[in-house]
Amino acid sequence: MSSAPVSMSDFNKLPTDPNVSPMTIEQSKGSFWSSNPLSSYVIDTYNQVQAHRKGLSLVNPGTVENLNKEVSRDVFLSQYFFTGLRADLNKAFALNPAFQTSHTFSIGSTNLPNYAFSALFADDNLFVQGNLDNDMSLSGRFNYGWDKTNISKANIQIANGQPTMCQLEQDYQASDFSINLKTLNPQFATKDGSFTGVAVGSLLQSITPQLALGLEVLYSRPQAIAPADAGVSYLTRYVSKKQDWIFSGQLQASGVLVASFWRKITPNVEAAIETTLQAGMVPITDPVVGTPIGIQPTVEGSTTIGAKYEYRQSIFRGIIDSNGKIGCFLERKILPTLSVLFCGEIDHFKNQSKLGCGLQFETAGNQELLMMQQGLDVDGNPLQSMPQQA
Amino acid sequence: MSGPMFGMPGMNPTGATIGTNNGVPSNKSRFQQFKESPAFTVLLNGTLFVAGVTFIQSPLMDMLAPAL
Amino acid sequence: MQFLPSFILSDESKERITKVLNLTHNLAHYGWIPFVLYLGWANTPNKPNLFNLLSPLPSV
Repeated sequence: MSSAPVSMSDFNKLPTDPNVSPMTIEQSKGSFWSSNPLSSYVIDTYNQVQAHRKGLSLVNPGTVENLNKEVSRDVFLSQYFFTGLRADLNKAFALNPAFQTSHTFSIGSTNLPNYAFSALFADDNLFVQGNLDNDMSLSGRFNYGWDKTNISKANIQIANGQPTMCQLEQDYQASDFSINLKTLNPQFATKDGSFTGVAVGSLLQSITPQLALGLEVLYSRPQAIAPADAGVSYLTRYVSKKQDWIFSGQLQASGVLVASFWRKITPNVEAAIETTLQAGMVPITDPVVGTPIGIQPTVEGSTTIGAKYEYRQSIFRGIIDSNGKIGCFLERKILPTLSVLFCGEIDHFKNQSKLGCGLQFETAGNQELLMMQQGLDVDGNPLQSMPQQA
Repeated sequence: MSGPMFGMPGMNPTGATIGTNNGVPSNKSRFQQFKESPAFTVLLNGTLFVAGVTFIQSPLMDMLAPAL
Repeated sequence: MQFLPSFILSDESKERITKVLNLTHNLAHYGWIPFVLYLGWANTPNKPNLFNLLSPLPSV
């Protein structure tokens, strides 16, 4: 800018045609930063990149946590499976904001407590849930959405005689990428400020409207005296153009490779397959003396294929596993307020079986909801469409 | 493999003694050796995955869906 | 190499910190469910009473 300075007032006195302006409308409206050639170059480049990014019509790839949600949570049984007998008594007090309590009784189960009480409250941007069982162990969740893109989450687990677990999480979902930062039992020593606990950071970025690639970095230091552990996991997710099938893959730092595939066949039938390969090292011991003489790489693998059928009154899930396991889960709504659950699993290779039966009651905390559960409105007239039950 | 009491044909005559390399028994066939290697697990599960995906994507799966 | 802490705590204040931590722990342990119930209760149009909140039976 060595040329002679020209004052702005002179420019403004120039006779200009409204259609041919020496400055674009944006420039004349702009402040110092957008009229300055150096910064305007930066701003223009940034806008160009942003416009190009928008032009790629990328969508948010979803969170890392939900990378293979369709397979492991929707189709497979692991989320739903239980053993023994159980009864759930859910009581809804309001639908919007949602508020419900639930009493769960269970016998003959190894992992379910005999009795548990849970309460849930969900608002447009707040989700609070607590669960307390007969051993007085508590698990609590607290999610708060600051806006559409930012969600803070906190999980806490307190059990008698066990260390307390506390997890803090921050989710950021932008137009074409998601960032998740979480930390488990974070502690900073008062002495030198060194960190103990687990910290995980992950990024999932859409590359094309279909394909997303991601990276997860894990840093773990359970005790201040022990050396820290770190690892990187690689993630990928591909959603087909018609969104009717999804492939996802993960290569985890611990040496686990997970590949999964999901397809929606009709609106009420879904099928999925997942293969897990776990690579590890197993020490070879001398067959006579029993002293280790070396290590040997081993790979354990399993493939599970499953399907989910959704009928008007019932949901059926079934899986077959390459380790000889066959499992099913059946949920049938007998009355609008009562459903029956059945789940069973047979392990053919180990000759083991598991069985679970359950009842689920839905009750209401007020007159309006009670009538709604029966398919009637407040005055006792049939509703036009059955409401979605929580 | 515990040390055999009697010499078996095709077996290391000293049995599996201390210090000697346990030794892959030579009576195992090629296939059996391959079956115990990690590559077999990888190959098996890879094949199962590809076969499963092909099955799910095939019209056969469409036929398994009931027309309601 | 001697690493000096940025602040030095006396035994009493250490004890106090432990006490406060324990209190928070207990508060979270036994106060979380009441907190959720209160949030729900305060946001429900018909304020259900405590018995209705805790009983599994329909309260109509």
